[in-house]
Amino acid sequence: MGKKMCYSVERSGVHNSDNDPMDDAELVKRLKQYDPEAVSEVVKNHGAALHRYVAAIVGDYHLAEDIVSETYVRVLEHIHTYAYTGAPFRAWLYRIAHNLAINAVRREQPVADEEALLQIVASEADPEQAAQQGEERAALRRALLKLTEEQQQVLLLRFVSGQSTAEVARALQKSEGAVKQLQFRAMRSLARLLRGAEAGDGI
Amino acid sequence: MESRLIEALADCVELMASGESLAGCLRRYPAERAELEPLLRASATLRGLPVPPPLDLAKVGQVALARAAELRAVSTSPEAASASSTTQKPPDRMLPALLVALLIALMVGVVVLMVAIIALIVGPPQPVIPATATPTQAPLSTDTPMMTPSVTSTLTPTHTVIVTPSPAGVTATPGVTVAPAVIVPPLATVPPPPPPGDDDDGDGNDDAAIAPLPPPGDDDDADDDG
Repeated sequence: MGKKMCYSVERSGVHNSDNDPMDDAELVKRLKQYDPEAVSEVVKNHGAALHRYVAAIVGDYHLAEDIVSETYVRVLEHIHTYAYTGAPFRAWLYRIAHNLAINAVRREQPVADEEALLQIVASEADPEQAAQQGEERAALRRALLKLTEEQQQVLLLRFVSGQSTAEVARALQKSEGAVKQLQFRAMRSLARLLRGAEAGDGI
Repeated sequence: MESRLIEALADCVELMASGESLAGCLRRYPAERAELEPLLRASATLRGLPVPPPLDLAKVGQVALARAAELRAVSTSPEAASASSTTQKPPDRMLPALLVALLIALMVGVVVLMVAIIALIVGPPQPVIPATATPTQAPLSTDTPMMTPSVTSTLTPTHTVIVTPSPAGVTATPGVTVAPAVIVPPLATVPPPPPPGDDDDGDGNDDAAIAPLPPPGDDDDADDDG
């Protein structure tokens, strides 16, 4: 238990903006003025994690990069409607990215699957094994997209972005207990869907 | 049972994130092993998703900064500021005025239509037809019986009535035809009323086109006409 507590504190320390709500308030204030320094800070602080998050959904790194760019553009275009209420700013950032990624998948899922597969095959030494891995990842992504939006967010924030339960709870404005429950149900559904995919039911 | 599983899964996920193996986690929760194992395998699969190549932060930043510059330019331009302040809610401000204008236009249209209809019915002035009504048939003047009760009852002494005899008018008594009355508002220029029974041409009717409304029971005109 002590180890778990230490882990949470340590991880929270990585995201300084969560510890000090004033940081986010100041950031939002400056973003509302389209301050270049604030824009650069948001891109630098969240870009890589956001890219990984989006790539897990769309399965195509280039598309993920475009979506990350589009996310920042959307943030700037709608920042005047954003009211800072104490919830982490990045929760809003991830929600925008998530919606854009889901829309992209719905729009071009077959293309994204092929692209992802080609990228993996090209990067691996053993093409056969790479192709199998690509299929598994595609199945995982399809299963993930069958979950509810909240379940998707919990799993992606926890396992792809590597956030702690406490951080996810703050991002989703839920209690830690609620996040654990969401995580459990999401994992149970995902495991069932993956079993179905292995058995050839298709997802 | 489920709450125990929820806690066990949360704990195992944390342990695995900090380096514990799947088998090591399952050993800690032997009673939940069967349920936990597929969930932990799924979580390991998720965690095993490849890390994408480094994001081109410069490119992404450039796109974001360019958009920020555009938005900043728009928000600080005086045209944008004045446009946003003056054209904030034009429909809300204009709506009552538009409704009033529409109502006035409608009323004017109705009045014009009524005037046109009356003009069509009345037609051009016609030669006066001598009244043949007997005193018993027309107890009031030849003017007053032609008016409908609703008109005569609402007239006040300040109103005057224009009566133009016409064959197309309303027939009140056999042989007497008078055009419908037109009420002139008090502000209209009204010549002084002629004395009752002014009948210079001897046609039996008052010559004055405009005559004051006699009080009920005033029989002077009737006498003149008769």
